[in-house]
Amino acid sequence: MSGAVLVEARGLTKTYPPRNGDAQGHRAVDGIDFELGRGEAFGFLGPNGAGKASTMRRVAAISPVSGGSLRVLGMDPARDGPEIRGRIGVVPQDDCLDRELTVRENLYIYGRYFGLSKAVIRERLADLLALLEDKADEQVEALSGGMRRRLTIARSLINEPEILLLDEPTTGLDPQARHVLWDRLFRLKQEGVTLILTTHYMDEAEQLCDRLAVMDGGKIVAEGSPRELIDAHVTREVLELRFPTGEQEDASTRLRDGGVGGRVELLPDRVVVYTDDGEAALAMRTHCRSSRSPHSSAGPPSRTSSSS
Amino acid sequence: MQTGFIEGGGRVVAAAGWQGSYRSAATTPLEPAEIMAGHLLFVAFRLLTSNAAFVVVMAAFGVSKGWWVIATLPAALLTGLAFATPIAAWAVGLRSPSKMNSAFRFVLMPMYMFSGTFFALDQLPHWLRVAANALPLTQGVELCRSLSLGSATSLEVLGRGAYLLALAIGGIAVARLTYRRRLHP
Ligand SMILES: Nc1ncnc2c1ncn2[C@@H]1O[C@H](COP(=O)(O)OP(=O)(O)OP(=O)(O)O)[C@@H](O)[C@H]1O
Ligand SMILES: [Mg+2]
Repeated sequence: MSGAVLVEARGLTKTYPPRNGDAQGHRAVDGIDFELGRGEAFGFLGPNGAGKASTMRRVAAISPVSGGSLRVLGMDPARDGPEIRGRIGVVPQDDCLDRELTVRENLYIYGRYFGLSKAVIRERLADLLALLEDKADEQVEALSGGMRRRLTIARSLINEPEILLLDEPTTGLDPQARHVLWDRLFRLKQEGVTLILTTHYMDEAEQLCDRLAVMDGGKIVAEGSPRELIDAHVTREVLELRFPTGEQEDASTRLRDGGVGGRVELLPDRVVVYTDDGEAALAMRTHCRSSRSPHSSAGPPSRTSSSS
Repeated sequence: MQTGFIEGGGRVVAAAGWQGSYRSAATTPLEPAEIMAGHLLFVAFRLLTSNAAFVVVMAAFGVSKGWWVIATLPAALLTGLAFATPIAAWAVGLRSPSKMNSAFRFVLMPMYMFSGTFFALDQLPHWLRVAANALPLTQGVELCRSLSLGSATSLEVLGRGAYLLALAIGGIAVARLTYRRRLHP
């Protein structure tokens, strides 16, 4: 069934009811469209509060939509919530584990919520516990944050989901555990599981996702394959310049007027220049200053450049 | 009442909030109303077991007369649920346990004092006695007491039982809404 559309969102909107303070309610998701096929990996990127998790909660059928239309696995989340949830796995941003229980008990109880029989759970446990090294009978309270994260991920697989929703899956994991997880997700994807994840790491997005959507303020502001997004929006080098207090604004204006050849961004503590040629920009900046304020007592700006 | 409050109040705030037990259960096929029902079953279990312990002690010391004491089990269960369900309906929407603590101090404790649990209501002035009689705890206490002493009339049992049942069912009806609102925001 490859090519089948599993998730289809049109003009999806979510407004949270007003809480103390704002009278209107908060529009966390503001009319977004996307479509997902079987075995596809889709990533949401974006700053804190962009509405990534809010979007995922709609797809997971644990939060009613306020506007637009949404189909998941060919069903309507408002009507067929339990059925959709039975075929979806969710890794929430905060783990929500039962801390007083052991790793094994957590997996067992969660499996029972899906109505799975003891025998089926026992069979699946063997495979899932591999993600947790030798911690099967340890109490969750005593686990490190990274281990808890792995348990949350193992838990989400207990019902062998067709769609897996992961909210910042590798936050808090060490590099090795991250690769173990990426490997696992990659295998799932090959088995035809559709992945939807949010992340703050560009490398993770690039590794795992076929397509990315960048969200900001509840809207999708850019969409495409990782490669396309990088080609369209990322310059080869990023030049960071630090100036003595008070000179920063002048310097950034001068850089802009001087036609540095990239985007210039003024931040509280530094000026950032996005350019394809950092050396040229640096030379120009030095030139700007020496020609216009020869008596400046400033030292050379510190410089970091990174290539992608 | 106390068991109903603890298991249906503080524990619900924790499960809906920092503990996350409700949030993780909500991602499974379970519906909010089923999660609520599961929690209330647990409350009922706690009520029955702790009441059973009371009954055993009462029987051992010969406080109660005859087999009627067994009838206090459902009566005490009903009393506990009449508190637990409305409290759970309220607690599930709370973001922190501080309001729950205030409710205990300013609502539950005074009710405890004026419900005939510790002293007979005849000692109160008339108007206060009327008010105290309307308290759900008074109804529950009188129901359990008369049953355990074997002095209950069927009219009294029906009246008090219906009052408590109405509270318990009303609590469930409201909790169905508040659980959905919190678990499926
Ligand atoms: N249950 C809720 N009630 C009211 N507002 C909410 C609720 N959940 C989220 N919000 C608001 O919606 C906005 C988007 O939140 P969301 O959790 O979707 O962000 P996010 O993109 O996942 O951010 P982060 O990177 O910080 O995890 C935020 O402003 C948040 O305060
Ligand atoms: Mg989030």
